[in-house]
Amino acid sequence: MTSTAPQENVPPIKSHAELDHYMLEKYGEEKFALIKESVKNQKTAMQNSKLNPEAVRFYTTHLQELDRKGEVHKKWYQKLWGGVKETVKAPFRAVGWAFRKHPILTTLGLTILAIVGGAYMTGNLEALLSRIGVAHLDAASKAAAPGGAIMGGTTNPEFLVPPIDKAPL
Amino acid sequence: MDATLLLTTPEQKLFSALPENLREGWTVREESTDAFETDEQLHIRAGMAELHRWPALKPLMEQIVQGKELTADQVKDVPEEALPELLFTIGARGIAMLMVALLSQAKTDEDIQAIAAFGHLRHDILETNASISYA
Repeated sequence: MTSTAPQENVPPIKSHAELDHYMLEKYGEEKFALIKESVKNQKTAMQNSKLNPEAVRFYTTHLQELDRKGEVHKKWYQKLWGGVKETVKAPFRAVGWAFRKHPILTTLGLTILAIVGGAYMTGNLEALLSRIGVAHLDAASKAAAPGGAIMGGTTNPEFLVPPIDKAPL
Repeated sequence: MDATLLLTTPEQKLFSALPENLREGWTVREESTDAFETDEQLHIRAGMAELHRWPALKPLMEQIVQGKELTADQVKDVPEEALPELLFTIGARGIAMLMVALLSQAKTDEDIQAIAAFGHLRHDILETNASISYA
């Protein structure tokens, strides 16, 4: 498996505010305004010769993931607060139960988490899937396949370091 | 949570290979949304993750990075409150791998309930992946 990870050293971006701050610092106010406009009207903005297509892609991909995270969490927590507690509590309770009951499942979950952040080599995932006995299964390879490979890499994403300890953007 | 399993076609094959007593009472529905994440999207999610909010995860992750499996005692330290953050970060792709692993090891009704739960949570992510796209 080869990594398709972006090679640029981009700091972790945890919020819309951090994304805006990074873009402003890197591209300046005028270009960033154009990039933002590109999200609303992608085709014409992409044709705008003033814009760096890589910058537009960087911004839209990050914005998309931040918005997706917000939406999924809203979906999960709205159910929780909206009076249908069991609907949302039950899946997380059942998942929590499975993690406690099957340490290998938790190991797999946290291994995927580490790989996603680039802290771990994909070979270890393959070994783990093989140890569980699912490496040969179509369903496992389909899950691993969509982006070409689940992220490999050697950089430590510092997942668990509070943002305050990180260098400012 | 209702008695519906949202499974992809390959997952349905694994489910149908389970003993009948485990399968009875469940309705299988096809998970047809295929808005799975790319490597890059997952990498960005990793940067967004705020897992430092659960310090108990740190020693577990350190052990994982060293290639060591977690023990039954250690997995008790994974806080349930961290699960939404964890599952969103590994995405529909990561959840799919967990589902395959669990389907291959399922022995009890609780295991099937957990597979159902993973399926519902994955569906929420897939739906959102499909509905929010600026590219």
